[in-house]
Amino acid sequence: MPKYGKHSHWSLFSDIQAAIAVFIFIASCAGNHSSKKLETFGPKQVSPRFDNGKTVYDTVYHKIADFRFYDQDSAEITNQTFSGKIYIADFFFTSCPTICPRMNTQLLRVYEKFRDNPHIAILSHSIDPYNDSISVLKDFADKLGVSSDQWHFVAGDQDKIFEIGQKSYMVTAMNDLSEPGGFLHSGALIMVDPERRIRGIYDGTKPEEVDHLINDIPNLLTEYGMQ
Amino acid sequence: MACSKLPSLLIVLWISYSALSCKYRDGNDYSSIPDRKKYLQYITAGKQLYLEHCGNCHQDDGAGLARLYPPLKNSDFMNADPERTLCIIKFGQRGMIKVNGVEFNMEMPSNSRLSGLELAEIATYVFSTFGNKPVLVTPDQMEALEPECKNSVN
Repeated sequence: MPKYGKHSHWSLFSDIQAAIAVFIFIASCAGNHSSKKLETFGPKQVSPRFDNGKTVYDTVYHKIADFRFYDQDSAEITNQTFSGKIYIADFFFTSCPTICPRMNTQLLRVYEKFRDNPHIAILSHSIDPYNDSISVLKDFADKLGVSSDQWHFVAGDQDKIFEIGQKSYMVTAMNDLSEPGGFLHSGALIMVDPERRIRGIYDGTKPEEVDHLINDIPNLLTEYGMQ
Repeated sequence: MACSKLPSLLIVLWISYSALSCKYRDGNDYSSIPDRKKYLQYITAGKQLYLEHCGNCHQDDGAGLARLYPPLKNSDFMNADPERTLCIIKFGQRGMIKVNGVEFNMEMPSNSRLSGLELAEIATYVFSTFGNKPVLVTPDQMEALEPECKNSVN
């Protein structure tokens, strides 16, 4: 009888232990999930260099190329504008009858969520610079009700916009007369870190994908010690 | 004997009352729509077409977007002149309009590449879902519209 009692005691103890272990495991998984390190997109290269007589191999990540555009306030917008910031880039045009309004609705959610956060900016490239003059972009931004400090609508040389879209942000942006509105372009939202690297690509037409973006931004802010 | 038949009699009476009554559970009066089966078909097809062709700008819930795209939901402009609304659905809209006190001035493209049936399904869905009363719009109505109807918009 005492033997049985002892066994029972130990059994209860190990049950509690197991429960605690399971709890810690679940808690740590949940913790890891919410603060996971975001992957870096694009082709990576390994580059050798000499350091104190030894060969060291660095991983060189895909980066957004240099650019220079003008926004709705005629302000020059370059990579420097986003120095020390995380920014979300997309490609659109104001007269777009298809996916752009959906993207704008979703980007507006991101804007509202991180409004006045000095570390977050949005960069919307017009792929139709012939119609989207500075004044058209200004009118569009005003009607959307957003501040030009945080959300830049830019236009520039169309070839340059297409090129940076395809090569840097890795999205489709080109003329296509068979498409409604005359352009073929992706609905992607691209999250860029302060080191000009792509850290997330989301379908800007789908609210649930944009939920992921809104959840990922704080993780990236934490990674750079910005919150 | 008579008493045992009373419950079934009440049920029969209730069913006939429900069938004859024009008020449905949503509180709308469908008496103006004799062909309810067709109406439901139009609403179902119209919703898909709306999401594909209209929801981009006017949003899936008809709420519009800021001062860029006007709302359809509870829109005074839309309800004030249904004929004008049908014209806009088919031929698009250019120039300033005022919806619920807010000015809108973005161009809406024409939908004339859609068939009369598709336009009727969209219009039926839009009026019934976002408007103030259920309406069955027919393909004939949409086909009869001429581009000149746009002149009466502004």
